[in-house]
Amino acid sequence: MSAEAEGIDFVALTERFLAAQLAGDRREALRLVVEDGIARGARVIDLQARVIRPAQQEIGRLWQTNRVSIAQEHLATAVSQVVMARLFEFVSPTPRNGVVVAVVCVEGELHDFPARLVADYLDHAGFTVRYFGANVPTDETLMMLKSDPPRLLALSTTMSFNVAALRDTVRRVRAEIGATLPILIGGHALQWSPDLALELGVETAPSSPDELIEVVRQLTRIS
Amino acid sequence: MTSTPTLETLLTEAAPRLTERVIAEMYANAFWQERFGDRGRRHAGQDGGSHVQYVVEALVAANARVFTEYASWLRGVLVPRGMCSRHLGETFDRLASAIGQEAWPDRDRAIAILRAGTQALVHTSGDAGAIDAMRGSLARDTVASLYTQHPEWLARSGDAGRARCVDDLDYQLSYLADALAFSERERFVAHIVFVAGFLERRAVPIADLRESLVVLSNVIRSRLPTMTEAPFQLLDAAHAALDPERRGNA
Repeated sequence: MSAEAEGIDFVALTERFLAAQLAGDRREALRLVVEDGIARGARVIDLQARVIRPAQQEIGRLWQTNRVSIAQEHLATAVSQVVMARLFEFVSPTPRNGVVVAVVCVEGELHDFPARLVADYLDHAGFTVRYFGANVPTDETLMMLKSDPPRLLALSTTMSFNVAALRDTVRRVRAEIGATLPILIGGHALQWSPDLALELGVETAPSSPDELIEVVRQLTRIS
Repeated sequence: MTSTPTLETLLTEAAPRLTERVIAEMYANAFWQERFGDRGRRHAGQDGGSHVQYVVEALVAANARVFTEYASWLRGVLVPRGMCSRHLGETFDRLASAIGQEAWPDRDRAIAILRAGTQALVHTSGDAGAIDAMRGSLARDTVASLYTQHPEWLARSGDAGRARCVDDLDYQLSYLADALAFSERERFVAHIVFVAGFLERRAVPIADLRESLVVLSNVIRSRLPTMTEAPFQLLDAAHAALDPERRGNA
């Protein structure tokens, strides 16, 4: 049954989730997504995209406007990380499609939450995801691509001053791996540099999970 | 044969030196140390490094938007922490001046990006936009009115004192425009209260600041007749916060 049929108010759920985050209450945050989300028919992917992600964005806004401290921001993010990990148990088993994708935050990039969401979305859709987390040295990314090549590389960049590392990674992948490996780029930095994908000759990751999955299916030639 | 370093490389290498120079210029004004202390100075150092990083990225992308978006975002961080748009714009201008002193052939490309950043901080809509568009003349008119009523002020502090007064009011107007744009009423009042203490420590009576708020309010009302009541309410709140009885009971 769809979430809409069950009448889940995702906005209200996000507000309660945010309150639990700000209180540092991991158990309450998890209870909310499980009892008020999963138990009422919500898909894990919807809870990630429509509750956890907007809550994280709001936490960022609250920090920007000096409503919460850096410590509170970290506390809240840690709550989301725990909930994300636990939500894995509730994912409906999806047949594996045998396609391996690598999700990497470029060298210097410490914000790994967006990349983790992408990794989870693709995992839930049946891809075999290798998620490497924050700040992966470019040399290590190249070594991984050579030793155990994926069918697609997703690169995440949040801060614009890490776009130099993104450029360097793409340039080196093209030079050392070749032109055929599909590369997907995403992250907040693209909002301030909207022509980056065109400049680098790569694809942009859509923010919607369903569109993202579709793009990755097309790029890896599965349908 | 060694190749000529690019502007991006030169900027990156010079970032610590440029930042140090900008901060030294800022902190020559006692306001910064008294308002933000050593912690603020450390943050200014970190921010200075970021400014250069974003200029470099804008140069590589050949698109000033990277920097103007950063400028707008950073203002959203700094205004709620007690700075005003003019402060941030001045920081970019100081950095541009410092780069202008370098013997780099294409330094003007970096300067143009910083200038675009300063320009991006000008409010362009609503009450905040109306105030920003006339900030200089509103400050000058207010001081002209104040000095007409108080000829002794010119005798007391001369033309330099009068120019400082115009400059101070220009800052108050930048704070006022930010408070209107970002709904930061309490922070505007807190800023005026800080200024009162800052001036008091320099033997400037709080009554003078209170009077300047009243005159400023009147000048805005006469020069910008289509303004909503919001700026006047803010100025009234700041004026009330400086009431000697309220301060005595605080």
